[in-house]
Amino acid sequence: MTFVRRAVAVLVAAAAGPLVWVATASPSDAATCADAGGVSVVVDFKSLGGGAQSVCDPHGGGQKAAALFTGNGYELTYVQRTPGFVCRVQGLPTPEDDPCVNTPPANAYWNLWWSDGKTGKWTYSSLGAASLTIPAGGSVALSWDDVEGQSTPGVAPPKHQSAAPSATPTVKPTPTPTPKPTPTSKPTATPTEAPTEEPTESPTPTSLESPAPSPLPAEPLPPTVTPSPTPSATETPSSAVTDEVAPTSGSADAGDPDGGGLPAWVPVALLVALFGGAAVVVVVRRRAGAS
Amino acid sequence: MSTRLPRDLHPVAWWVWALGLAAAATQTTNPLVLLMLVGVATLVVMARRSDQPWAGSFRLYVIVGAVILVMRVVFRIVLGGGVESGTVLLDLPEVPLPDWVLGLRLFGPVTQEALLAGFYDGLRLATIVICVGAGNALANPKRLLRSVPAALHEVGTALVVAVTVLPQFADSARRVRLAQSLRAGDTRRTGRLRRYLVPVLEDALERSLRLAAGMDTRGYGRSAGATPRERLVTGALMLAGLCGICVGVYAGLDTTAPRVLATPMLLLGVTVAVVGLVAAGRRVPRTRYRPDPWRAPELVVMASGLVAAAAMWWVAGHQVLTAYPGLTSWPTLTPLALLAAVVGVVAAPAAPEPRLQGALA
Repeated sequence: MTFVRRAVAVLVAAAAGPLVWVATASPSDAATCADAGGVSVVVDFKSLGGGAQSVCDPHGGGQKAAALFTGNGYELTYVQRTPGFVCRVQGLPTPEDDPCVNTPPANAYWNLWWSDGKTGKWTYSSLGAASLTIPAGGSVALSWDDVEGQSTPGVAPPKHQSAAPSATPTVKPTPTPTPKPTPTSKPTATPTEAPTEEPTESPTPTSLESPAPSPLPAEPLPPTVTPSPTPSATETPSSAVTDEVAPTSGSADAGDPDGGGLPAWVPVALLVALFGGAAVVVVVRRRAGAS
Repeated sequence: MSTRLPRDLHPVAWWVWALGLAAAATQTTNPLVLLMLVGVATLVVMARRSDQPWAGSFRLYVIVGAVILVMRVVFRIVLGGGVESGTVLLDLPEVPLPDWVLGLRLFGPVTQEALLAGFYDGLRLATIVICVGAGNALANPKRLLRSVPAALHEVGTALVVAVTVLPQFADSARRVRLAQSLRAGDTRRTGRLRRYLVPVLEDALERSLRLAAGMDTRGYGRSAGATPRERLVTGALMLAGLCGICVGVYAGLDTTAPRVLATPMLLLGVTVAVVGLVAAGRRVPRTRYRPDPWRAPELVVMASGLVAAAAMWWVAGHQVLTAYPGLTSWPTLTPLALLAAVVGVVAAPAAPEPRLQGALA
């Protein structure tokens, strides 16, 4: 499935050529914040499907990262044995892939990134989502990481202090992953050559005949909203948050054989029988020993 | 109860049964399954333990399990507050900590999810501990020594000596106290301690020297007949096997490691270690006097433990939400998970009644 989707994404993006995608693709995408008052909340699903989504929370300044995600409609699930470690966003990855009991491995977990809104760079958070406070004008992102090393979100954090955003989309300042030869870090360098190489469909800023305004002046940074451009039209329904949740959580529930479940009284009765049996055995043996 | 004569079940069968239950417990956090495993272990221990000193150790393991459980939940309250969202049960104020203790928080709102997660997690470890305790209480460590490979005979002897030290110590303390209570003497606390401690320690030392002399007479630790080359080969095989097992286990737990290092390396390590053990065992000539029989009850007991582990392993792979239930709803059971949880109870009727020392007297 994902392979087909990726292939389609690559094909379409390649056909689209060097045009730049700016328009929002789903209703929930309000893009990153244009002014310095709010907090940009980004979730990049990458290979999980669903693209990179971003929302501007106008009153998000000073809130904790976890509150920002849940407050903007992203459901977070934590690892059972490691409190505060985000395991699932919007039910992804599914319980079949990861039961969320132990901490996920380093090549399949949600990275937490943040930006203070001045540097225009993502910083890998050294705190958990419940402890990290995002300043007003900053950004916070959860990015699915299925490669060795870290992979930055496909959406660049807005930069509010600089006078004018630079005209070319090549600016996208994500310096950390560039030395690494991982495929996901490629597109961040030059978006135009991205689709030919990269396996994740998220940060492809190329597009087709978008009715969008020119990317140059208006937006703080052009490729802000990059929800897997057109494949969403062909393969996946859309990258809207609500659309994304319903099928996955449904399938998660379907993974548990509901029909095979036993009524609740069965285990309780058995527990009583086991411990009661142990008590009876003790009494019987003691009596036998005494006589 | 039955026409079977009382006898001790083969200790290896008890250990396979107990470790099977423990393996089943590691595959799940479902509290129903875990509590049932604890119930099974308790029932079987109560029904089939002997009156030897080690049989009383089960209570100790249960206490340790309870302490583990309480500690896990307490630590979730102290350190895990406010981390997870969910139903807030108790809104404790958060103790402000300086910035340099990155990410640490004291107290904060206690959620139902955090408490349940701590409870499930603690219950799993407690169940494993209690299952191992059941094995300890049921299997006779001295008879187990007869079943270890020849190469481990000397290590096993040392272990048995270590295991039996504590009961002996308690016994000598009891004797000394009895003797002292018959005599007059210093009744102050420190003086009494000296009067009490010195004879006990002296007794322990004397006993150890006697034991050492006895073991020496019987050729303990004697490695005659092995050339230096043989010793070198044996040692190299053992070390290589151990390294292979370490690498294999590490790679098996770290899912990002190359798969070649996991199962193949583990198998290779085990093979080399077995070869090393066989090589080392050839220089320990040892005969068995009245070996423990291995009959149908042993098979049934062992099979019940293996079935529990295998069934739970399947459940953990295919019925994920049963094995690792969510924290927001009542955990459910499937028939297979139920089977894995209660199949161990077969051991109670299958095993013969233990021989009781009190019955002989």
